[in-house]
Amino acid sequence: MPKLGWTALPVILCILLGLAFWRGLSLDPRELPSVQLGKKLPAFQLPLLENAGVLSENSLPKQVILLNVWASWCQACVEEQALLMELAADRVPIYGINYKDKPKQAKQWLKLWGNPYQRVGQDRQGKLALDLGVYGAPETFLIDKQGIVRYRHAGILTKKLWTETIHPLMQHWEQQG
Amino acid sequence: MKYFWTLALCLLFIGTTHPIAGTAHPSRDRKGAETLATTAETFPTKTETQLLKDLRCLVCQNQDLADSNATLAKDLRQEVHQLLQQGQSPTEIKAYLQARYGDFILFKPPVKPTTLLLWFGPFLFLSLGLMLLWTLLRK
Amino acid sequence: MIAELGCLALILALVAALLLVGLPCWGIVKQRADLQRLDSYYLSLHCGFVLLAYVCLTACFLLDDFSVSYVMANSSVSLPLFYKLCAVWGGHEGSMLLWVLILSLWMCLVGFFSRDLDSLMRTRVLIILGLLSAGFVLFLLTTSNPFARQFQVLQTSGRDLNPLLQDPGFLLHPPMLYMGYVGFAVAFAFAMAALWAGRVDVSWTKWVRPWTLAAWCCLTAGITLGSWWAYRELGWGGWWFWDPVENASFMPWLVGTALIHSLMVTEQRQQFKAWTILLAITAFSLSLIGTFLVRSGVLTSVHAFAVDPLRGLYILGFLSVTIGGAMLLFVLRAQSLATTEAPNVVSKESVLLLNNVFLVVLMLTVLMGTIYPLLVDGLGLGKLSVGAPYFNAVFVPLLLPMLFIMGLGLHIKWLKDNLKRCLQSLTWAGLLSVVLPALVLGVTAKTWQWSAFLGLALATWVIITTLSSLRARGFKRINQAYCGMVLAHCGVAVTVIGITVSQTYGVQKDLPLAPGQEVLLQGYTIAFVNQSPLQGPNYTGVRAQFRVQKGEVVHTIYPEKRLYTVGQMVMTESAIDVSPFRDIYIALGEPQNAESWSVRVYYKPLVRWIWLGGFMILGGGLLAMTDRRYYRKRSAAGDLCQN
Repeated sequence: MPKLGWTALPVILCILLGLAFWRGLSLDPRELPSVQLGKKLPAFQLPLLENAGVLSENSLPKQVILLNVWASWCQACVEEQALLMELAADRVPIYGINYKDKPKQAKQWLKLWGNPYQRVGQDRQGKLALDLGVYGAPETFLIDKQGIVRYRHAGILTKKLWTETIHPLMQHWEQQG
Repeated sequence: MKYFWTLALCLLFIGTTHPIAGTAHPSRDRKGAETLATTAETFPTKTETQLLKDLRCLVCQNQDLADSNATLAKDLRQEVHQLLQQGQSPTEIKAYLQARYGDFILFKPPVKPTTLLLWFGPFLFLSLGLMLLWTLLRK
Repeated sequence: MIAELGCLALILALVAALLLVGLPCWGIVKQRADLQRLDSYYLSLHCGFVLLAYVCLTACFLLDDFSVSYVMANSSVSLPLFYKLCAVWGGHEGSMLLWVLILSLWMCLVGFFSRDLDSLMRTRVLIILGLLSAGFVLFLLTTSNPFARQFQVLQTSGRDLNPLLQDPGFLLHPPMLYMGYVGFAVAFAFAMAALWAGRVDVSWTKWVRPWTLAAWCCLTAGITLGSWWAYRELGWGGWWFWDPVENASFMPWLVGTALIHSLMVTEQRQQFKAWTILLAITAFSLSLIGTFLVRSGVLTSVHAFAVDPLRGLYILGFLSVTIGGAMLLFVLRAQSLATTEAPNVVSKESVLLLNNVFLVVLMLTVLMGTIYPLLVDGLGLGKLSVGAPYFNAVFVPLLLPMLFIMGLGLHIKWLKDNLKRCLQSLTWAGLLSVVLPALVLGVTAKTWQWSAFLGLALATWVIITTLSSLRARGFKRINQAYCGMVLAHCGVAVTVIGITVSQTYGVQKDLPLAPGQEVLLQGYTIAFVNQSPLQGPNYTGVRAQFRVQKGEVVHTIYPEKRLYTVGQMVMTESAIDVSPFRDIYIALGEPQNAESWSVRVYYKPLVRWIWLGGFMILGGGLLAMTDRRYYRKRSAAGDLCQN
């Protein structure tokens, strides 16, 4: 084995780079983790879509719920609607945040694609979404009994994701206090 | 002679550690009067533009908030504008957005344990390189 | 039919490349000269087939053959002919084919120009280049076939070329860049051949230098053009964003610069052989790493092609084999190349080494900044962004000392010199470098900015010391290569001046304007005259007329807002009032209502000097490359390396 000397440095660097690139292939640079995990829901007061009431962090039930950010202008939201209807039929509590939308269009959209939501709050200016770190629609949050954000999925909710990740998480947080 | 060179090198180092060496500084105001066309409200101030340039658009991730046409970027620009009007400083606004979107939204990574290598790495490399060079030359 | 012909041509090119590698290699092992001589034959065959494949793909574009899925994705019936030719390299598959074409072009050039090179060395070089080419053609055939057909979408007029690319700059920028990236493969092949042979002679450096300079010149041109193009086309007034792909082109350039300087020492003093070889390997490795970063989806970038993890996997494998193999050979053979004597502490050799240290540190800095988000994410430590503010903050402090040393180094003698004497002799230069910028700034600028002064002072220092080195050397001893060096170094200074002044004294204004309104900017009156609807070959939009006036001088320019019909993409065509000392740059933002627009106007002093400097550097490189002393006929028993 010849003496390496300073030539060891570039070799080590190459190996490290190779490992980093290998690891990098299985990552998605565009995906953003939520910074809200483990934090309580921010205070909010949103007018309801269905009637003159108000949706606030206190009016949410003291159970584990899904908070789904959606809009009638969002094409991808249509794709996850079937799954959400299924979940709603299974009595999974889903609350909706109508993101930067008009109430008329939103109501029409729900009529067309179905309404899985217990209640829907209108976030006309997107203020709550901003506080939650939302950067697109659809997004789904898992909120526990204390109102703390436990999980965030940015993108369409799939059956696989539900069975493998979200459902078990919901059950876990149900059991916790 | 040596005093001249000492002074020159000191100026060099002051120059490099001066904050201007890093950020693109907005130019200071001109002395001449500059009238804007008939507009009701002043469009982005220099502070605002500079701040927006340091923030990343989360949708068009290769652009900053000043240039991106994404809806989210427009919303965030409005938010930044409002916060500035309320008297918040750029640092406070960055912290506000960082609390919601994480470090990702800052184009200038914060200095924290995970970024120590990033920020001090270059000077570490330089010192290492110079040391190696010195060892070689001394032989 | 044509697409199938093209595909077949690629397969035959691969076969030819494998034969180019296999048979001469066997010939070297078995010491059979007849097999070694087959290299030229298979080289021509390989290059011919690659050219045929490229021509076939171009034909598919010109014939609007949308059954080829690559053509459908990057062209349309309404695309102007000129852009159809460029669209061939508009996407991943086609640009890879361009890469392969350019590699075979370089191979042909090497084959042609190295007739006087020792045939064994030449064969080795061609074998290594053949290996690289085979790897890339295999990559094309397995993961990125540009000739793949699609029969799902039958009635289509094509998805059109990305409007951002529909600009004349697109003709030059990618091919020039690729010429540079790929050109470093030649230096790489020479380095590997030297390691294979086990020796580095003076003649080796004399052979490698022109090839390195050629590739480096192309890369310089490619980067300069890209920067200028971004400034014109993107509508944001910026010219460098530290985007991953820009960094991917900058890193090989930095190492290439280091290599050029290191070759000087190896040529003059036969020192640093192992280091020079390592730099040659590194330059091309960075080209390959750049390819990986752009095409694998590992980083987000403006330039990133459509992502496919399988492609990323192949490139990573190819990278590992190539760089791994090169490093292995290097580690095994480097010791036999090592020189025993170290240069003096103060000597031109040590200054050149110092230059290398700085350039390599700059490269490592850019590399680390580019992949840091990846590293942090990979270790599960969250998501980071490393953008322009970071790079500017760390790059500038590293660059400033370099500028000082650039000037000083030219006056230090070979072998041994006295630092004190050297500094003393340059005091007048130092004084001028402080006084002149101070005067200029005091007279022309409205406010004093220390950053501007610093940049200008260092740039002046570089220019003065470089020009005075001509006199110090003695005018009789100046040859073309030295002139090239002078031009290139001054080019760097000019670029620094351009960057410093446009950054510190540039002014930007964002405001809403309607026709009839005007704004004052740095003594210029910019008036929005009117706007009219616009109809282009494959776009519609609005064309605005702006009048830029200062005193008696009036210029009219036309910024546009275009909607490209096929892809429904909105593009901002900015308008620039160009002059050697300042640009007035106008871009239309969002329409406020039927009449008014939010308009962005920039005043950018000396911004053109940035690219002027770039072209000066290019010119200097060309001068150095064409210096006749590299091309004098060598005598038969002369200084060729006889292995």
